Amino acid sequence: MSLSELEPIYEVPMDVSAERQILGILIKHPTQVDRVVDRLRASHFLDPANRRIYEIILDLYHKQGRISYTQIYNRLRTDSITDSPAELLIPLTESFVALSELDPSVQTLLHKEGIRRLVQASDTIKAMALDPKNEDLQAVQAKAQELIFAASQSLDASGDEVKNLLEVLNKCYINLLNRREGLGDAYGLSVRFPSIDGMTTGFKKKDLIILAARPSMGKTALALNMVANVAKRDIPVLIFSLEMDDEQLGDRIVLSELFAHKAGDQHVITSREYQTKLSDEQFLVTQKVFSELYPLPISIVDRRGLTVPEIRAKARKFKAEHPSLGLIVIDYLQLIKPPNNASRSWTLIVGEMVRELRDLAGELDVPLILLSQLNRGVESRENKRPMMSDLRDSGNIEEFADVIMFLYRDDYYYPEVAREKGTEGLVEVIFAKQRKGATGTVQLRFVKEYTRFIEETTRQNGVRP
Amino acid sequence: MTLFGELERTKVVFIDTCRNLVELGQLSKNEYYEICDLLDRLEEYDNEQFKAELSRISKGLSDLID
Repeated sequence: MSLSELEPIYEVPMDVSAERQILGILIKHPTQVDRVVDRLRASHFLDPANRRIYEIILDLYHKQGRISYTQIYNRLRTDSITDSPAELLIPLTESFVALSELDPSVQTLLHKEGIRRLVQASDTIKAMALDPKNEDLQAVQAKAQELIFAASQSLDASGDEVKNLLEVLNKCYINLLNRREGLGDAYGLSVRFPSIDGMTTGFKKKDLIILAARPSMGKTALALNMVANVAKRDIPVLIFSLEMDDEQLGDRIVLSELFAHKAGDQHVITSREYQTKLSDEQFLVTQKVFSELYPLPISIVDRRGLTVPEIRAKARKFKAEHPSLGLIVIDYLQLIKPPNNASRSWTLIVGEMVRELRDLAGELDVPLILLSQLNRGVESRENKRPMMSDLRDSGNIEEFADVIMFLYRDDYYYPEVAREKGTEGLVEVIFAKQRKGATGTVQLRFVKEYTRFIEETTRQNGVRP
Repeated sequence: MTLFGELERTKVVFIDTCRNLVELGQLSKNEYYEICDLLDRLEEYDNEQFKAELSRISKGLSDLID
């Protein structure tokens, strides 16, 4: 829908006077074109004559031609824009103001454009919502959020595109000082597993972290353990669970927290007992865990068949409501509903979805942990430790991910051997890729009864299996 | 209106007049473009130099202004 199709119940927000002031200043001070060229497009000028004059100014500027009233006059004539260019140019000479008015006038046009975009988005949403063909309310809501978000984005991106080295080094230096003094978020997000934090120095904002393994290795359990550890520091976490429902996740979190109440080797409550009937004593312990968990800022979206745009819309909304959002977890990639595009290969479609999720992490400025299955190639090898090639069927994960972690449990494949060697429950966390750090393997112990990971004392930092 | 605005307005009116003279056959296109160039570099000339340069480009136009 274009502006011209909007219902004429309001005046289109515009400021012809500001448009003229900008043009007048640019003609008088052509070097100022540099200051506006990446902030204002011709479409910011609503008056057709002003828009054309701005286009001519940009054209002359790019061709390193002289910018003057005579040059613009001649271009208006030769381009057959008007038979009387003087009538368009004289108002500009009359509206010339001081150079200091340039920025306020540019801001005025950006402001008007922002309002026009919001109005246009809301009109499109209205038309879409009232269209009887659009029966899927959730799809309409997701699209509406996309439109509003796009319309709300800052149009003036000139400030953050080109950074000089001084600015960059300044930020690096501040981070260096903070790390030295242990302040702020100089490190990434700690998940309170020292071996993992040691490898990553914390998950960095804007990073896409892939946590991949074959089924039953403990992907979800490790992700939930990390989520609980983060949330205990009052950092909001958002989980998209496309496999388990909210109650299953809740039970898992409770069960893993019950581990803290375990007395020595004695289980306080086994998984089976939790799922069946608890004694009075066990019930009291469990109630205590519930009380500890109630205040944790963990939010769960457990709808199956979510698409990436739906995930994006929900995450944006959550971030708007919880600006301190610290972590997003998606469980798991292969359950995200792909877009309807049968003509493209699965690899390309998944690659595109992964790229969009990486962009989402960047946009929301949070680390995003994306759980992923591995292909069956693992099973046919003698050494069943996952490798990067096991992700190949899943699009360009390797390319887009900032961190790739694999989980491997020897006892899953060779339980007898593991029992003999005493490696039962040992889990290798293989860092196959780290854009900002070393690759290597660390070990955790998986306490299956509680779906709980704990630190293992023997570590193999920097050693690939 | 500022002095600069007045000057630019005068230039636009002047160039518009010159363009009409081209269409009336009173001024050649070459003369017209030379006048445009002269106006764009106006700050480089004082009053006498400007008159002399304009007279060189088009004696008729210069006489008309006088």
